[in-house]
Amino acid sequence: MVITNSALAKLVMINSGCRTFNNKKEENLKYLFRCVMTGRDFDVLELQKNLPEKSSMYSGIWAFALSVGAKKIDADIIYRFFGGAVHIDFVFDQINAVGKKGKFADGYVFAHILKPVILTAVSGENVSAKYVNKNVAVDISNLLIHPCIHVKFKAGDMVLVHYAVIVGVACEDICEYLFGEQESSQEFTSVCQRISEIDYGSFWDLKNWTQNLIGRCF
Amino acid sequence: MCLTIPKKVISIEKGGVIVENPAGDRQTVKSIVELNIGDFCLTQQNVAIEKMDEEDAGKIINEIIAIRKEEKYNGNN
Repeated sequence: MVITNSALAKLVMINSGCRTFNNKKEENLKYLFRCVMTGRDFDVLELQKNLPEKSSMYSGIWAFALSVGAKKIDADIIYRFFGGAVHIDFVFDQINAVGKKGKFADGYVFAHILKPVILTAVSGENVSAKYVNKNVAVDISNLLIHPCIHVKFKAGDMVLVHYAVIVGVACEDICEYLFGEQESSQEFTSVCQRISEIDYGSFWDLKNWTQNLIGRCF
Repeated sequence: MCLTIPKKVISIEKGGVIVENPAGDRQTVKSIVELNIGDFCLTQQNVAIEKMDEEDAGKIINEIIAIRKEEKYNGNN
């Protein structure tokens, strides 16, 4: 199975914000970035074999691609994987295994899922957005635009957010798919209803953490 | 990057494979890889998609046990 260069670029951006409980695999992020810079597509097995640290993420994406009948892993597959039912199940699996509950767990689950959001403010360091889906609306503040994105965003634009990072423009097809998957999950909907707003400047120090990681890796 | 949750194969039955996560929760999954009792695997939407090396699984489980004990993730931060 081939993973396209643009899919790898999206993986780099998505992983740039992906803070979990074990802050590892930074070397993998650097390696992935070097792969993107070659400008070529990769065979998933080749990519996985050469990772500095073992990762099961690629098996998950591969299995998902096969399950939806994709012939290759492109950026669209990456978006659908990280924002769809597979990843929603995965994050609840994680949070249950590590035994976390309450506000922290809700923020963690919400942040972890790739979501289409509408930008409400883009002014210097102040980037905020709103996630609006059936029966839910969540205000998000202190977002970062990934340095690999060279689009001049403005309030009203629809973008994709993973943790505190804006990873791309949200096209209509992807929005429809992700909103559908996310509203289908009662658990995810309940999380969104409970939090109503999240500030990545304070929640888990996510903005700082991400800025530092990006500074070290790119 | 994402924290993988290794699940241990408890039994193999007609309806599927029973696996257990580090918190002791069990589920029945289908499998696309060959598994034996005691193996560790990675699951995705109720399908075991990858067999995990026992040593790697052990390391992750120890990390998960440590995370479960950490109070800093239990607050309202």
